[in-house]
Amino acid sequence: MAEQGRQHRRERRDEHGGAPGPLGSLEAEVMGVLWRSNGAVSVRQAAAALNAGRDAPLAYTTVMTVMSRLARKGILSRSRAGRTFVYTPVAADAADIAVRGVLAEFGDAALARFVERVELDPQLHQRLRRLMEQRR
Amino acid sequence: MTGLKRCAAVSSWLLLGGAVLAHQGTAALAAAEYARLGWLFGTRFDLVAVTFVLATALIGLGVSARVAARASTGSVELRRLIRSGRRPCPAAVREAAAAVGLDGRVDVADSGEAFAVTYGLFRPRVVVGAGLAGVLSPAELSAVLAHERCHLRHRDPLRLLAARLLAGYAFWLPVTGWLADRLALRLELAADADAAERCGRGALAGALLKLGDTQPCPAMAGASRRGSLEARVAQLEGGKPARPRLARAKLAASACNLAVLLAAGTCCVGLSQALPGGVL
Repeated sequence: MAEQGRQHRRERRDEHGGAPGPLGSLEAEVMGVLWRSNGAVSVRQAAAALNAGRDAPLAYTTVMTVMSRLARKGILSRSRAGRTFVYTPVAADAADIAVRGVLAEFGDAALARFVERVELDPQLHQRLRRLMEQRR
Repeated sequence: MTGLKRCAAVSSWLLLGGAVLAHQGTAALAAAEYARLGWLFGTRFDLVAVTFVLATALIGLGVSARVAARASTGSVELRRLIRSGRRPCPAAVREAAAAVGLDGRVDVADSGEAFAVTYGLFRPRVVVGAGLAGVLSPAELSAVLAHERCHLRHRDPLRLLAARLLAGYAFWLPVTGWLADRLALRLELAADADAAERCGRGALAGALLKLGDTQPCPAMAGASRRGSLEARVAQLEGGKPARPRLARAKLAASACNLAVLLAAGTCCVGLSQALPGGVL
């Protein structure tokens, strides 16, 4: 009962792109498939790998939802390959996910981080590059 | 930062600390009045004023407790992950740490992500991602560690937490959130100035470029952080960094809430003096 409640709270938080905390069981299975494969994987390929040897196969949409959620949490990166999306793991293993999770969830609490990850706009990028080329 | 501005910043925090203590004292009076009178206050205004003071104090304590709990959980979790990780400290990190005077104070987290963080309140340490040395040049790595050394020497995690605890308690004064953001930026700018002095602006700019310019994790990206990076780049260029501006609405809301709380607090104090035999 308590485990169900925790799972429900985790799913609700995940819907809003929460921090990469501990993975759910299906998320862990999906990550296992992506870590074993070399390179980017589409939802269809991941679903096929997950359903191999499974009595009750997972629906394509279920796998797609899980993979989108992992991408929102920053654990997978998503890119377009032709008419479909492919996913690549950003985190190398479960320990990496745990560290990223702590930084994302508590980073603003009592940590002084060198720089937060942001997408630099081209102007800021150019200014930093100019500074970088200076000796001092 | 000029002496006058620093003086104003310190005075603001002292004033805020004083206001929080005064609020706590008034809330203690309010609790004693409740214990003495129950719901039998003379007028409805007295009842509302006493309840308001007590409720804001309790909610403020709750918000502060949540901030403290998150901070301590974050530190404990990070320490646990560092201990359970088995990554050896890369030679480049060890050498750079020794060069900037951080020997023995740098841990390596079992993560491919390139990051550097100062954590811990009373005996702070620096933790870097195992991927950091692979992304930065030796000079950039030294600049990052020199920046973190400045945070460590000044116990910035403790100062940031104290500011956030005060801002959390005084949630009814939106101006405190602005003060905490300003402090966070000031600490970053001071650490940047120190690192640029030791390792050169070019190395620091290179590190900011490489570590800042990555695809953001949705949970971590924030507009205010982009503004902070803008200010840090401006300082590196030798210009005047833009500080977070205080919105007029926040100032007006703070003044209004302060006036209401002052009125309620005055009522509490007056009531305690009017009660025969005192309230305590």
